[in-house]
Parts: sequence; structure tokens; C-alpha cells
Amino acid sequence: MIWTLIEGTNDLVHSVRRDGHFDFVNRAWVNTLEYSDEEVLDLTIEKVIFPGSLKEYQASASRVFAGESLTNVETTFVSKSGTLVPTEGNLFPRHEEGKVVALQGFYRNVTDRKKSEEKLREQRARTEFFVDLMTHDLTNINQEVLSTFEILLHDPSLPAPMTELLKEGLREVERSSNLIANVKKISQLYAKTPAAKKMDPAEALFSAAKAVESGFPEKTLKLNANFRPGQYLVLADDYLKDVFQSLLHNAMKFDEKREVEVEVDADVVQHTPFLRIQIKDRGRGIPEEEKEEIFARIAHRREGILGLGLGLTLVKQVLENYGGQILVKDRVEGNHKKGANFIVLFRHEQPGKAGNGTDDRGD
Amino acid sequence: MATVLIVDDDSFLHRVLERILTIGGHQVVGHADDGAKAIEVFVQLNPKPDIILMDHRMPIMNGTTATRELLHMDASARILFISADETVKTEVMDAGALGFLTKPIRSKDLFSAIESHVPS
Repeated sequence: MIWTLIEGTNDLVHSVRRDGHFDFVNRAWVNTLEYSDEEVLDLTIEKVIFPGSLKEYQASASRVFAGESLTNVETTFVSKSGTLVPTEGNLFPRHEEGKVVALQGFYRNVTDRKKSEEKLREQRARTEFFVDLMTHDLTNINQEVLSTFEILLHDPSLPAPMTELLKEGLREVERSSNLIANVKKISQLYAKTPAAKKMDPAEALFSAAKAVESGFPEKTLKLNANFRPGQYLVLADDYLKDVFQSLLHNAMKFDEKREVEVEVDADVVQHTPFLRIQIKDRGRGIPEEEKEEIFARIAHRREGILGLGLGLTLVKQVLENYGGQILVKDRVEGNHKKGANFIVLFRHEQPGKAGNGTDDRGD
Repeated sequence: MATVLIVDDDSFLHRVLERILTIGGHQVVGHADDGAKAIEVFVQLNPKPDIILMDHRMPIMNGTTATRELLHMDASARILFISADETVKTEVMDAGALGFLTKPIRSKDLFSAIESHVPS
């Protein structure tokens, strides 16, 4: 029965003696490497291993003939007609009277997988290249448009309606720039996950607030935070500021008042490894049916949540990279029109030193 | 008021930046569209500009290499990067740049960066 299995499998199976000659090869081996049964009798292993792979094979063979078993050994065979056959296999010693007399190898042909991996690598490189090219060039174009608008706004003879129109145009250019920056960051996040480290969430929050406020010259941001720099540390990465920036940007954007009030509360969720930061705005809020959708990975096109999507996609992706979470509730429970409460859970790095606001309610 | 050398491969950006800088009370004393040209212009300028506004991604010689060369020639040269490519920030700061502004920038941020790096 065992021979039926070995002869019936698609894996390449062989048994090689110390002198390199074969004392057994299975049907898949013969078919893949294109030798006849007669030809196999005179073959040695060196003739069917791709020269670039021979050194590694010989090193593995030495270990097997010393009695070791090896798993997941990568070997590239070469067929009679010259086709390369990349494989991944397990090698075992065959003993006779207590001595190792042969190497037995079971190899899976991974040609298709290697091709897929190569194709994926190429596609990823191509995507990264185009994203980089587009974001770089579009940013330069935005810089030119933005500077041109600013020059025009310095003209004292400009009629008031034109001034308003230009200011609106400036905001649109900045919106476009934020979109481009977010696309680039998401692309970078998918390509390479940054290393997580201990970071101060208060420092990132206040730095983000400053950056957001500068983008809304006609508004002020009144940030009421119940924690201060040096109080907490969380596991995060260099995109932590982007997380707060995105949430505060939305708070500023969707609150029509000139003074935008945002309350930020931090507390350690007892008996869990999390620090909870709640960012409560007084904007137009998020209806119940849209609460799940706003974090979707695909950019939204639905009226009402357009513009929120990509920033929050970035936030979600960033947080997931280091074990954080985000969800949204109403600031005033049951009345979404009173504003949103974005609840972010970070891995807390100093659970014993929390200064205030601990509770055990959890989420 | 600061004297400024603009280094960027985008000719339209030279025009708008010069206009913006003039509005801010600064004077553009030279233009270069790549790093190698920047070195040539810098050598010829006398007196030297108070600050060089440098792009990174340019043909022939990029901004980082040009920064190293310029600072090797004149350690007192002040170079402020304005680039769309934020990934090179560490590299250009290591090369000796005084600061890094990510495009697109508003004029007020540009003026405040120049003021903080050029002694009045």
C-alpha cells in the first residue's frame, strides 16, 4: 500500500546512495525530470540538481548521512530538457544494520507557488512605484496651485467674492493634499509595518492638535484633555500622531462653530492591558447604520461619509499594527446629532502607574 | 529680510516661490534646477545667500548629495529642505540640513522657518 501511495503522489520521491546513484525514484520524479527508468540507473544526484543549488544540497546531504533528518529544505532540480524545478522537501536517512546507507527525499514541486510569489512581488513593486510617482508629482502640483492662490490673495484689489472663492479653493487643495498623504501612508503601511515602541499619547495628541488647528485658520480648537505628557505610555509607532490628527481633523471639519470643543479622556481599563482614550466631538455625529462602515478598508463613496473614509481607514490600519482598536459611539448616548465619541484602545505600557480615571467597565 | 537661493527642478515652482518670498519681504538671489547647478550658482554668488531652499528629488544630482557637497565647501551654508518626499527627512537632516518642510507648504510656515534659521 505504501508503494501505491509513493508511486501515486505528485511529490518527487527518491532514495540516493552515498555514491550519488539512485536506488529508487518514483513516477512523479521520472515524469517531472523527464528521464526514463533506464537512464535513472546511470544518473547521479549532481546531474539533476541545479548547479546554483548544489552546494546547499551537498551540505544538507552531509547532515542526513550523519544521521540527521531535515525539513523544509529548498532544492532546485533541473530536468533533462533544462527546465528548473524549485522544490521544498523533507530528507531522512535510511539505515541498514545501524548505518546510514541512503538519503530519502520527499520533495514538493513549488514552481507554481514561486511563480505566484514572484508575480505578487512584481505587482507590489509596480504599485509602490506608481503610488510614489503619483503622490510626489501631485503634491508638487498642489504646491504650485496653493502658492498661486496665496499670491492672488495678497492682491488688495481683489473683490471680496473672489477672495472667498480663492479661500475655498485653498481648502480644497489642502483636502486634496491630505488625501494624497493618506494614500501614501496607507501604501507604506501595507508595504512595511513600522516597529512598535513605547510612546507618550499626550505628546502625540497635543502635537496633532497644533497641526490640525493650523489647517483651519478661521477656527480655534479647544482641547480639554484629562491627561498630560509623561502620564501614560502606550505601544504605538510613528503614525500615532496621524491617528489623533485624523480624528481631530474630522472634529474640526464637521463642527460648524468657530470654537471647536473636543474632550479627550484617558483611563486605564482595569484588568485589561488597555489604555482607553475617548475623543468626544460636537460635530454632526455618525448615524447608527454608518458606525461600522466608516472604518471599512475600501474608500467610501456614499454621501455623508465621503471624506471620512480614508483617514479612518488609515487610523484603523495603524492601530491594528500594534494591537490597538477603535470604535465609535455617540457622545450623548442615543443622540448621534450631539457629536461622536471615538474610543481608541491602546496597549498600555505602564498599567501600575496610571494616575487617574481607572475603571473596570471595559468596552 | 533674507536672501534666498531656490533649488528645484520645477520651473513654475521657482516663479511662485519667488513671488511668495518677495511678498514676505525676502529676496531671491539665485535659481538652480538640480543639485549640481546649485553648487555652480552657490560658488558664483557673492555674497552668499542667507538660505538655500532645496528640493530632494531632482535630475543629475539630488538635494541630499548637493547638501553634503555644499556644506563640505562652505560649512556655514544654511539649507532648508522643501520636499514632497517625507521618507528622506532623516537622510537630509543627517546630511546637515537645518530643517525639512513637507510640501505642500503654506507661505506663513515657509516664512517662519526662514526666520527661525536666518539671524535677523
